[in-house]
Amino acid sequence: MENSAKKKLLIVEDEPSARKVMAEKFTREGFDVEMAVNGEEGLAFAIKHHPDLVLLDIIMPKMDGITMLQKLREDSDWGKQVPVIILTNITFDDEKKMEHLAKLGPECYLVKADWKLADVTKKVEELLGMK
Amino acid sequence: MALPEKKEKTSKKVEPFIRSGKNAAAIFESFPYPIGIASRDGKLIYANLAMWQHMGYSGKEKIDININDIYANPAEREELLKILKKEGKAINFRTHFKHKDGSVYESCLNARMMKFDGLDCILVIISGAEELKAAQQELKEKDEEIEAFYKNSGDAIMRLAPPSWKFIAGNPATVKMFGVKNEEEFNLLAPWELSPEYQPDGQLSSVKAKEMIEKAVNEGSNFFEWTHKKHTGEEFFATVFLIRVGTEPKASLLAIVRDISEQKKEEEILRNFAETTRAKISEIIPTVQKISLDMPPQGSGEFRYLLSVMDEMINTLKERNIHLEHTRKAMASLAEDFSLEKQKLADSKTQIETIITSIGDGVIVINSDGVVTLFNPTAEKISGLDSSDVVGKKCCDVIHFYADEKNETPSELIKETIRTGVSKKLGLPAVLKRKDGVKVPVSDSISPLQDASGKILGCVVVFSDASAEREIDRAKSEFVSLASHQLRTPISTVAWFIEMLLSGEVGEVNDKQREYLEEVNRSNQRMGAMVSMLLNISRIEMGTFIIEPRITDMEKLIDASLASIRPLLEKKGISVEKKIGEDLPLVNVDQKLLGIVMDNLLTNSLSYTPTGGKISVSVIKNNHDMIIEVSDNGIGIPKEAQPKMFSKLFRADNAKEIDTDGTGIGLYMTKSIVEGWKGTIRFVSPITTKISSKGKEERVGTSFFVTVPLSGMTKKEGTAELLAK
Repeated sequence: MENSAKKKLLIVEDEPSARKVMAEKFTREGFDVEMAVNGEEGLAFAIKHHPDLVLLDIIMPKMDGITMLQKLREDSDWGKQVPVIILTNITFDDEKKMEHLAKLGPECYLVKADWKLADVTKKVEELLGMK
Repeated sequence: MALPEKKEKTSKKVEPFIRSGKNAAAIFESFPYPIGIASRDGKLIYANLAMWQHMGYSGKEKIDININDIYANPAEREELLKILKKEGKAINFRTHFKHKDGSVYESCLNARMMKFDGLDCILVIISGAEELKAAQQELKEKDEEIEAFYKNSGDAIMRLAPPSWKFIAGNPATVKMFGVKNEEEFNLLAPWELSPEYQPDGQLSSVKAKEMIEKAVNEGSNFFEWTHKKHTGEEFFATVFLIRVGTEPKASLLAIVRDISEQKKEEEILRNFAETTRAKISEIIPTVQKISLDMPPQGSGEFRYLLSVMDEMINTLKERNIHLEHTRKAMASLAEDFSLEKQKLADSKTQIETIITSIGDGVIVINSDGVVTLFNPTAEKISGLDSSDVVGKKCCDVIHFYADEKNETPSELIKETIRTGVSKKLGLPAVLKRKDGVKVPVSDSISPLQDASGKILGCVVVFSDASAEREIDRAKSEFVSLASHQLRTPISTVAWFIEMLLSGEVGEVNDKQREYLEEVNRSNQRMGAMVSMLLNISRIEMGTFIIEPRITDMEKLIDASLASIRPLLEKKGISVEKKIGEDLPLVNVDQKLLGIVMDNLLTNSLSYTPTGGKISVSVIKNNHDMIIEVSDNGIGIPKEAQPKMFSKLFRADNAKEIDTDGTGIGLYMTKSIVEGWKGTIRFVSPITTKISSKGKEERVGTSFFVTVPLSGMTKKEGTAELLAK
């Protein structure tokens, strides 16, 4: 274990139910969980508080996940390297969009409907070098 | 001119002058008549200019001439001298002189003995020299004429001499006419010797000939027809003209004989023609008389005959005229038909052109050489090219279609169609490069143009701007994405909550609760599966799914598919048999797509096979394809249902009984995917039949066969991967 302090997770998600269940799960798993309801909020928080990992939804009001990620990456050196997991229900048919997203360097693209929450947790822990 | 008188006068006048020689010469010179003085021994002492000229000299020569040189015949001179000695003078003495040019000519002279400068000389005065000369010249010319006539005449001209009246001379025509070798052979033959024994009138030739000759001698001439016989024996008709020449008793006969054989022939023809005509006329006259009853008897029968001939000609002409009229009418109506057809053709051509011009799609007509012959206004609009830029040029030089936006190589499909005569389609994401370089999405179809015999004349490309379509497609797929997102959100949320509950993290869960929670979970999962299916279908329908082939070991793939349904297999107690062909090579396949298909077939088999049943999976190959077989001994597919098996949302009745959840989408999707990789799918059901416990005949088993080209799946660009379950 690298760090005994709790890892900070930023969850950017517009759906309240999803936020609720994710908060419950990750808190139980020992993470420090922060929430943002849209991309704008998420960006601001991330820049300010430098979370250890961002769980990012895509379809959100005010600013969608792709735009937020782009701005995050452009923001600073920190922004460039912070691990981001895209956690969404949408799958784009538009190749161009997917390519664009891939260039922004998310760690992975997880479709919520296909992933158990427990497995998502495992993934997060993996990426943070935990366990 | 009274020659003798004049000479006398001259002689008298001259005599006194002669005594003085010089004077004499001067006087002589002025005389127009040739005067010459010769010595007795023949020397020409003096000649005046006229004499010199008479002899053929210019007068200036003054050469020494011996009289003997002048006299053509010395004997004549002797005679003159004799006369002079006897009488002292000679009057109108005819003699022959030699001209300077050597010719001999007759002269008439008067001569006198005289003393000239004391010498005894002979004075010669040529009299009537000119007239004589002219007469002689005329005679000469006449002679020449006659000579020519004699020589060149086509008629035979000969002389007969008394008393025997044999031929003594004959011109070349004679030789020819009588077939003798030459004149010599001809001579001394009598006329009757060159004739047949008898003449046509029955008389003996010898007798009749003499009669003819006598008549000519007595009357001066005789013209008659005669049958001669050539020396060769051939007889021929002739006309003979006998002319007496000379006077009795010395008169001889000149005969002119003309061969009239040709003439006779023509006469015969004419005679026959006249006979025939006369016979014909006498035949026709009664007929003509009948016809021309109401005609006043004008003139002669010949006239009426002429009228009838004219009548006949008129009738023939009338008939011909009617025939011509018919022909003309037929041709006129043909011409009308032609012009009608032409008009129709022109109309339909105009129609087609109007349609092509106003049609909302771009139309390009290309001939068999690949040259553009038509480029309609819509084509101009879409491509930004002007028809003048393209018409007459090779299509592939000026118009560029690409299979998709990224492609740099223009499509060769137009060339293909012209070559093979097979229609082609360029669907999305085909683009057309505009004049300004912008690539506009198009959908086009290329159809060959063929004549009745099947010969390829070119092709027609019909294309439309698909930008709007593409937009719609994009909007559609975006909508699908969004919709699927919307549908999945509650599904995933529910799933996570249930997960939390079932994990016990939020509180203990009793058995019943667990059971119910699991039911909810299952429903939720099914919903999730359906949404995935929906997404896949929409991608299939848009043709946008990707094919990414990889070298694959089929056995491994089959194993993986079977592994994913193992729990269900075990639950139902269904056994699985796997057969992989020994010679099966590694193939280039999209594992995901093959996985989806395998899952679908296996799930179906699983669903429709009762407990304790058996599923077999085999992979073999033939020359072209790899064949995957999934067979079961389940309930089979009823005959009525079989045609609809691959349609959307269809489920056979018997299947509905067993599994109410199956949405029937699976086989439609499976078929679309298989066809997407250029494979085929078919089924056979039942495999066997058996008699059930109830005594009913039951179908048993279904086999599905899926092919994959041995050459492998072709990589296909698309916009999305299909979702696995």
